[in-house]
Amino acid sequence: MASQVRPAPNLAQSPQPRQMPPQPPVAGQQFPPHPPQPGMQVPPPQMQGSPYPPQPGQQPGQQYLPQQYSTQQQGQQYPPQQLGQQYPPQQQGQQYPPQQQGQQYPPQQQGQQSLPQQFSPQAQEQHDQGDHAHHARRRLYPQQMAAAYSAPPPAAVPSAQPGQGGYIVPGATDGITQQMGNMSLGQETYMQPEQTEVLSGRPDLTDLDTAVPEVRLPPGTACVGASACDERVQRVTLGAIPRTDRLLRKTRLPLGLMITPMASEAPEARDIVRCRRCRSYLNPYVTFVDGGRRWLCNLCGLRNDVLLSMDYDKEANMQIDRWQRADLRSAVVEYVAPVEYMVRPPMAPSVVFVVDVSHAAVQSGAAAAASRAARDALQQMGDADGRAQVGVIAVDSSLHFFCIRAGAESQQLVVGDCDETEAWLPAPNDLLVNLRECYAEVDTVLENLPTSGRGGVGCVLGAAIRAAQKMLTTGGRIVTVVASPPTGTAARVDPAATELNSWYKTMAADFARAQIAVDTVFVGSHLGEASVACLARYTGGSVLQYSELVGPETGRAVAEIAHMVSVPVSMESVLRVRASRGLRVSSYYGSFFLRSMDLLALPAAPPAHSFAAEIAIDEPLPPVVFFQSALLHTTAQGERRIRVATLAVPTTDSPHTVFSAIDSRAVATLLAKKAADRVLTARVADAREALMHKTLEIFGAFKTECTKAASGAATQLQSPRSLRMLPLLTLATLRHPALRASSTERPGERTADIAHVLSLPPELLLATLVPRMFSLHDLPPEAGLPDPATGQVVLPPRRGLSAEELSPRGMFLIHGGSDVILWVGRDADRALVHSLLGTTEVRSGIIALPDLSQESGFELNKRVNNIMRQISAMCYQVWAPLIMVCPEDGAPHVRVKLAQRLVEDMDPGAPSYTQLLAQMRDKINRGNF
Amino acid sequence: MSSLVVIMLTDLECDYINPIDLANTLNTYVMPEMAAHLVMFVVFLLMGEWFTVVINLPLVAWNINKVVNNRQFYDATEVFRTLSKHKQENFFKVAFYLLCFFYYLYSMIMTLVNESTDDIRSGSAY
Repeated sequence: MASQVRPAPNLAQSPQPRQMPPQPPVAGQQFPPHPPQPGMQVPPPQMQGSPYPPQPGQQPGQQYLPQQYSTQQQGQQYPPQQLGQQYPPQQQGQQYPPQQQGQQYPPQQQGQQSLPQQFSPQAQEQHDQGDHAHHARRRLYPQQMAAAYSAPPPAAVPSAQPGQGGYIVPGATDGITQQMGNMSLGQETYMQPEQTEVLSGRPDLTDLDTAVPEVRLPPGTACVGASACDERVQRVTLGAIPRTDRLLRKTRLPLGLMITPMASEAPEARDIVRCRRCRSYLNPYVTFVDGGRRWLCNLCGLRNDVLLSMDYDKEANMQIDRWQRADLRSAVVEYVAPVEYMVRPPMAPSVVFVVDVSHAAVQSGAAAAASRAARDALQQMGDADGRAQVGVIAVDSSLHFFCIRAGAESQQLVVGDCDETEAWLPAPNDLLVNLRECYAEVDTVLENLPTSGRGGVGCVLGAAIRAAQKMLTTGGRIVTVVASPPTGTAARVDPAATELNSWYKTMAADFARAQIAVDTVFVGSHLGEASVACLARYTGGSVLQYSELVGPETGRAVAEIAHMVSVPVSMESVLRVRASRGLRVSSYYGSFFLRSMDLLALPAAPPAHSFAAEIAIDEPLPPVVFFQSALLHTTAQGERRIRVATLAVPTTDSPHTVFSAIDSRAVATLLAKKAADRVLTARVADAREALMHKTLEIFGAFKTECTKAASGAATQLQSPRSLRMLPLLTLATLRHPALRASSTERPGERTADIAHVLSLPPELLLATLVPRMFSLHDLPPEAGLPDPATGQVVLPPRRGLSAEELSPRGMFLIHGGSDVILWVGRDADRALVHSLLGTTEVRSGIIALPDLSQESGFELNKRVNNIMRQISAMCYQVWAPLIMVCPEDGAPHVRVKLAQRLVEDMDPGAPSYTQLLAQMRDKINRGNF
Repeated sequence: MSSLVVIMLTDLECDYINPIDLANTLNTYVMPEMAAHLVMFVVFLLMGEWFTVVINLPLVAWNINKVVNNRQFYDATEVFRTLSKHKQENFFKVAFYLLCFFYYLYSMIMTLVNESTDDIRSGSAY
């Protein structure tokens, strides 16, 4: 379809056609009382008796809008800048005349599409669009969508069109007429050449930093001036969703939604308004009908009565403007929940530290690190209202409880005979104490924690978390630091066993119900991580893993654990995802307990946790579909709040449009999450194969559906522009530690990596999949310094991730979010090295980058520190990465690490990027993959 | 028993019960059901009811296989993923038990009828 859109020679003179599709069926004007008549002036009956009689300037049939918007002429429902392309409102009133099924659109009516008068109010009044034209426009819709997607960016639009938005396609006048002609002939069209791309050579990594492709909606879908959903909060893999399941299966693309509820700030909305039937919340995409007395739910289409409280403030006794409501102006809002949303008073933030103090833990430094991290965390926690509660349990072969009283020395109670089935607490109270009252005492207990054990062997983790559960009567978090394999009876984990101990899964289900989240930190490997990590996976907890704690690594572990504990999490939360009729969430990925088909129970929801939902299409979809996620949670301040985010996505019938509007990074994220999930139940090799197969299928489907060489052999791999990064991202996913094929991967690390892939938001996951490589020897002058305009540190340009880029004279920083590698060439400028590290000696190994910003002459150090901080901030401060220094002739283990991060190059487990492209091309040409 | 399972799984789908309760309730019946079936199977075997043994053999094998692989219990955390499988399996079981019940009833009546006709033939009824 897209190829028919050609620039019109007379574009400057001819006004734009009525490009936009009719309002989606959920719009309010579906059933005007009369068939449209020329110059229709009589208000339709549903306006009669309206408490808000139309203003003089208002046109009949238009939606109710408050007075101040009526001065904006006819386009009240739309953002002012889009006025030029709106339907005149009286046409809205006529959009859906009583359906005349089967009516054919006579070709001679096409001319009406581009009637030139539609921008002047006079013209609107005399303008008549017959039933035929309505049908025509309706039918045109998918093609128009296609045209809009494949159009050149709005910059190319001639300036003769004032108020031009991003939707109108230049020359679409001709395009539409031709589309109509072609449609009747049933001609197959292909994507425009500029939409497809031949994949060869090296990928352009700057694509990974470009803005997320905007979801283009028909104008008028949202309320006036409403902001769209932040893509960090909700991101959909396909910018245009196939209308039918058949088309979705044909394109082989994964349809999914990435939800990170707490990723951005949200304005606070007043009272909660919900649909009576589907219980969705009021959002900018609802339509007011019947003169503003009802609102039409955009998810289920039910007409709900508008509550009086939306227009009138009883307490202040004054009229209020409903269009100023935050939930009509912003797609992401937060409500303060009233009592009906609580089953009990909001819980206090409570933490119980369960720390392994066995001989192994003390030896490895885990106990000391945990003690420091816990003290730092309590300091950072900023318990403003003095509600936070803390408890400590030390574990070896027995349980050590601490009875803490303000102003008194705390007492250590040792329980030797412990059992997982029934917890027994040695003291009825004083085990979980108020942090503000007993800060000094808790701090002392934590300080002495590493020496509190008697160097015993074993770690009765099961009994300890049972005891912690009993302490946390109202729920909270359990932070476990484990450095030796759990012992005991039911909770015993044999480190050598491949089978999971299901006791932890059962416990996780119990914890989810009791609103307890478990964060697990492993120090060392072969600790039965796969079993124990279930506690975190099903309770919304986090998993951290450190192979060993030596030198700077202790500092890193302390910083990361302290951040994990002290970051404000949403407690006792539930997340519900609602979607338009015809859509169904088929599976979820992330760290949660699935309580029913569409309800995720999250005892804790850290801001950096994301949830992916895979979506299935059950029945043909309307032109625009909506996803609404609502997170009901308790903040650290003890407020019960509801975070609601609504995303609108257009649908289409054309595979071309689907392929041109893919968000390849979201697709890669979803595929990575699916692959990681598969590793949990199947072999790694199966997961890798499935991922590769899926990528091949997508490109194969594109070739069959959208290119001229549908069945024949192509010399090169063709890709839609939107998908060109997918092969690289797939390659990077295959090399991610969670999916790496090599047998050297330790089981513990794999567990933590899988947990990361499953729970990280797309931006963070991409940062770990495809590292950023910067050359430090030729930094642009502005890089590493704050941008005067935004205050954000400017990142240097990204380099390709290949050994070809590494020049012996240079210095390179490879930042993968959680790990950083500094590569120093053989002939690197020593002065530059000194300026970065404060020394000219370069030895392979892990260092913490010194902060030399106080001293002069270390310009590069300051800038690199700024860059590292900036990337950390972009990654929600989840990681406090260390730098692995890798000289050109460095130690082999360091060079192996470097090779693993250069994702374009060949690796024992994965082909190089060019090899991958060749393999893909051959397999797709052969048609078997 | 299986019909109870089916009803509860449907309830779960409609969000009437939560998965933890479901797993707790159903798991208490899993082993007794299997044991009862196995006992019946052994009785048939001892009685030499070869045809009955053969039709019950697949289910016994299926159950033993599940127990050996430790997959017999319902997992609250995974139940939604396996919901359709569980439902299918239990629908099948319901049908199987129902058919078996009527077959046993038929066999019992046949046995009784045969016994009485034998009695008539031997003349002991008179």
